Amino acid sequence: MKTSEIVLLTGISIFAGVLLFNSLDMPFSSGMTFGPGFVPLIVAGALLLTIAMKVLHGLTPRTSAGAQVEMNDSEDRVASTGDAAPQRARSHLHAGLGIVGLMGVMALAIASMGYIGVMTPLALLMILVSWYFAGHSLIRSIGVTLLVMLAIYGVFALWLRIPLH
Amino acid sequence: MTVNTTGPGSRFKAVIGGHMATLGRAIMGLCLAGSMALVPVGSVMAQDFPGRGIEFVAGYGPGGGHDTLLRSMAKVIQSEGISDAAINVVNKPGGSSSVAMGYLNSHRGDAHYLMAATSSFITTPLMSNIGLDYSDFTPIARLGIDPELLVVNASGPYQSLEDIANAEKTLNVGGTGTGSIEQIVAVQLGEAMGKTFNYIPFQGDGNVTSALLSGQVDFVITNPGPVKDFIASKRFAALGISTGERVDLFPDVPTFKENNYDIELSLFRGVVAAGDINEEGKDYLVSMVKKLSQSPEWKTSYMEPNSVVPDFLGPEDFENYLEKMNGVYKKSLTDLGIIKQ
Amino acid sequence: MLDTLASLGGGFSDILNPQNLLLIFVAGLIGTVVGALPGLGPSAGIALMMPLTFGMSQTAGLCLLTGVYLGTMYGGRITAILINTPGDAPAIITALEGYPLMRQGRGGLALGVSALSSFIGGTIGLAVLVFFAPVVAEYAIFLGPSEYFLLMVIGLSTIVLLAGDNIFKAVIATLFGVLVSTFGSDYISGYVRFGFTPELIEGIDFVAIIIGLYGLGEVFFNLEKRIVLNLGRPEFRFSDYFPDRGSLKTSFWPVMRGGVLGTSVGILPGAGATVATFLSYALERKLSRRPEKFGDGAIEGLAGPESSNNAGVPGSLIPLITLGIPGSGGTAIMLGALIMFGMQPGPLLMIQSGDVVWAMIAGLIVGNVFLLASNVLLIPVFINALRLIQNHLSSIVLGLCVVGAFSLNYDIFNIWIVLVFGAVGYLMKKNDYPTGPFILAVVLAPLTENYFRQTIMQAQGSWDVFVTRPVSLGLLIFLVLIVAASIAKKVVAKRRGDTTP
Repeated sequence: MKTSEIVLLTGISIFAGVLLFNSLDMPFSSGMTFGPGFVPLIVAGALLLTIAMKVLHGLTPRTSAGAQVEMNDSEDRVASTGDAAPQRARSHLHAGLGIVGLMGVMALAIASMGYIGVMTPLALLMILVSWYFAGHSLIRSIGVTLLVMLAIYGVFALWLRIPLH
Repeated sequence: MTVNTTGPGSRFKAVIGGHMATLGRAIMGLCLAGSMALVPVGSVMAQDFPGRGIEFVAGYGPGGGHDTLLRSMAKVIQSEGISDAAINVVNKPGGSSSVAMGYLNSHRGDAHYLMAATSSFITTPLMSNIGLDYSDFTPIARLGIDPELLVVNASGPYQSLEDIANAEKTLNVGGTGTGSIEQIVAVQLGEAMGKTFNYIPFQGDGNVTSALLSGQVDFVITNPGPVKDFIASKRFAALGISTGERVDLFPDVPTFKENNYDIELSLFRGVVAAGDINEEGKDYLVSMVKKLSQSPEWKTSYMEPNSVVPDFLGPEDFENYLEKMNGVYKKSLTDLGIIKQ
Repeated sequence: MLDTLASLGGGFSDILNPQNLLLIFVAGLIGTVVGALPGLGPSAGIALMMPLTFGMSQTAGLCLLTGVYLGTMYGGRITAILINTPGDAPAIITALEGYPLMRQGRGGLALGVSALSSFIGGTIGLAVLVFFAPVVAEYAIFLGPSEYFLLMVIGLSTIVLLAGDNIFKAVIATLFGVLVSTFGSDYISGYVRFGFTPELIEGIDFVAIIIGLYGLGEVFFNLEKRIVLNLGRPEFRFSDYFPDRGSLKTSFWPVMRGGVLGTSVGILPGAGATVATFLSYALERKLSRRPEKFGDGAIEGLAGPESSNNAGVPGSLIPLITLGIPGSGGTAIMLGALIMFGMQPGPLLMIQSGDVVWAMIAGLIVGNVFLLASNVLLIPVFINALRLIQNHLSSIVLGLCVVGAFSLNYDIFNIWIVLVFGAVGYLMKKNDYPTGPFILAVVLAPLTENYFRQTIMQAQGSWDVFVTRPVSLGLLIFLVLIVAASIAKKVVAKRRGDTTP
């Protein structure tokens, strides 16, 4: 399995685990039919089970057809068999880490929106994306972002009266 | 525009006020000023309050019940000249009005905020731990109530409360949601009749009405709004009402009390301010809302179209009422097992 | 029939003056723009335009509001196709088939086909509204929780078609979607499930989930892979924007079938429109001679669901007009508007204010024609606007996603939701987890659960209702047949696969 798939499945497992634990507090059945705890409990359990099966399935040696599908899924592994493999794998990792970083920066930006409003952190985030990730020049990034923010402000705040600031 | 205000809300409003006028011209030359006018503050009133515009806080989004109530209030208050303060309706939707409650609480001590309060004002704090309850706010007034009607399909077998009390099978009762006032009325009525009803929760008034129309339930407990036309057109019949006395809206419908079922429970529509506000601000808001509730314009533009029964309570009475309702809901929700002691 | 036509004629004579026509046209345009913005749909459009109608006559005000309402339905497709951000659940299929077309440089074609399909679907729906409103109203009421439950299950069964190759991945995506949908207050039991923060009491906003999953997830994915659109420079060649004869021919029957599905299923309150679009998609894929094209920009997969989506729009007004019962968020706002205009929505509406209602219906018909015209004319504008900003698309889409999420509740909480589901969408896409089953589960799972519980409660604990009510029985048989057919097909395919490796 790829790192990103492990991250995804770990995240979903934690989520399912938390909900499973919390759904124990809610009635499983009520009167004639099932209660509010029924669906979350069953589904969270089934989800954890399915993820476990998926992981086991990935670990055990499999038939050629199954492996073929897995190989296609997994770019890292395909890459590691090629000639320029180490370098490509590293650039994949680099790009992936960049996105994780972007998510982190975005989280910081959202956290600050509670204090200073939505527009400023969003503008900074957009400039960062445009400059660092999309590779435009800084001047161009700032200019385009300002134009877009003006348009957004005009449409959402001035025209549609959404209290955006 | 000469608005001597400081809040970000009013600055925002000044901008949009101007813009809306431009848009209106662009379309049809419509005059919007009436609905959103900004009137200079402080020039007429000799008092210190309000020092700036008053913000009406709706716990649900545009078009929702709170929003309609507050926007109608703002419209009548301004068109009838009840107050010349600038009124700005803001929506703080989310969390069954708990987001709005949190917002109002963050302005504790400031009387420039007025929030719509309906049953969610009581039930949300009871059902979820949001760290606030009704006692954290200053009750201003109850404007009216939404009584609960017992309604049957006119072509069904049950045409009186007696028929229902004497029914042999377990009757299906429709209402909105579990733990709602509709269910509490159904449970209380069942107890009074010595019967158990099979209460079926639906999502929203429309589904309740549909279920009765197609005979999927034997009777429903509902507010007048969604069913009054069906009653007028004789597709439905109302057999009982949950008020203390008969109401003008349905003079022929007997109260439960007349039939010796001691049930008097209604939904309420009121307004509250933030906690710990000063007397001056409170008095201003109370007299403003009181004048509003007495104006004929308010009756024809809001109360009647929305089938709200006028039943005004001032701050003290409203406070007692809220305390009583809190007790009723708390007991019922505990009995239903929804909240723990 | 003649009465109906006479009334409709009366309605037309009320609205056919330059002022009202201009009003409908402008309202349709505004609705298109509002509907095209992520996070804003018919409810927001109507609520925001409501203050404009104060002081207008009843007829003019209703023309404005219905124009906006219809316009948002047209607008919802635009962002789904251009930036993979559907505005509501019925537009998910539009993104699924339209966005790949856009990436292939055929965005103009996708917009054109979907506008035309919307128009024809809308026309079919309007015809039903005009001629069969009372019949349809009784039909919609006759259906009870047992029928709705089975309908939702049929809707959920289309997951099989969206599942992709890896069964584990599809199951994980589906179950994950079900779990996400359980948040918030459960009106059947009165419990608040997982209300960890006050904002979660009402559940996770569905639109925030799709903005994150599709819009932001796509941004993350494209940034990582350094995918940049290359659509060429802005230009105005009309042949780019009008569907050619071939695509018109391909879409004709899907559109007709979609229209029928939309009027029969799409008008049902709740998730009717969503189920109808997914059923139409499933149907077209079954009937298609090239099912492998689906998911990669199949014209018929775009046209059919789009038609059934819009066929349901006028249909959803039927319960509102005939009975005063709103079937969707948008029509609930319309109900408020009618009350505000001093009308009494309910069984007496047609008797008391029949002329205004017919004027409104005439307004819808005119609006539908105007919207087709304006949407087709706007295609070059949208496509060229996109070409203009294609190099900066990632940052602009990110900005729109954030602002759209904020607009849902005027709150940053939904921006967090968008970020979380943006990350989920990115990881799912990167690892080939299908998003269709996930999103369908989010929409339909709570309805399925609640209708099932209502059914059993209404039958006082008995399970007979599914077979004793004729419509339920019919739906049940249909469900068993499609499950049996798909299993049989799988078995046959496997046998064939075994013999010819």
